[in-house]
Amino acid sequence: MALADDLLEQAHHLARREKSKPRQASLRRAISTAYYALFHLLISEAVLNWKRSEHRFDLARSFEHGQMRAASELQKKVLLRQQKMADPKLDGEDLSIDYHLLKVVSNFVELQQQRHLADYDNSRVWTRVEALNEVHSASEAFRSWQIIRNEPAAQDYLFSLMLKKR
Amino acid sequence: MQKLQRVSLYVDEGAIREGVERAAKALAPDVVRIRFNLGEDWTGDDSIFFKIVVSDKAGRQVMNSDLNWRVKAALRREIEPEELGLIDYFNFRSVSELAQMNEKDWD
Repeated sequence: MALADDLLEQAHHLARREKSKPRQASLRRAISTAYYALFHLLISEAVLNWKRSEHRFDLARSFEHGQMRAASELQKKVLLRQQKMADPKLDGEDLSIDYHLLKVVSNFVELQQQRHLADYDNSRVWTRVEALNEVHSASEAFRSWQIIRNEPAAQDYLFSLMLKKR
Repeated sequence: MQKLQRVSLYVDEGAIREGVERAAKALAPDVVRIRFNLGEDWTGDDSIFFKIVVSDKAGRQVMNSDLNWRVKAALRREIEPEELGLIDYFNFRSVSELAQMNEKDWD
């Protein structure tokens, strides 16, 4: 998980550079790096489930942005519906897992969109607050992931990231 | 009613605007106003893009607060974008940042 952590730290650094007038290049790279931090965190966690460690790097290369987004968006829809149907008086462990998983999947979808704009749309102007906010979203997803990473729902989500729609 | 590019999707913008106003009120004074527009994301999926203007104070604390998630939760509760077939995206800018820019979409 070292790469993901390093990328997140770098995103923090880039979003705070140039105290008074941040360069667009710094803000764009901060947003893009925040996305890649979460992207690599999820992949590194998924491939840990592969018993033969010598295959993990190759396996990691098989993950696709579009497929990971589709799986995350689907999971987000399911979680939002469950949240709506849940008894608001309930405050159990399951609700907490859903809450953290929703943070991970929802922030992943959002970060991927922002990364696409940051990397490819030069007409878009970014502000410091926007960049800090996206880095914060990635940090929050990291925190939530650490809480739920061994839960069956989190592991099911990791598995879904690899599956192509047929 | 606005017809999006996907023929089957019709969205009542007035109802969305009312929900957005309710959310903005509930989130004041950290949130100054919220605007939105409808369009497609990078994959071509129908989406709603929220533009959230936060106070300068809230903007300075963005890394150390739960405002980001509170805003998302409030807007999802009011609008239920997933029920409208829309993917939601959120952008945050501060009042003083906007004052230095000329972006009508955010006014």
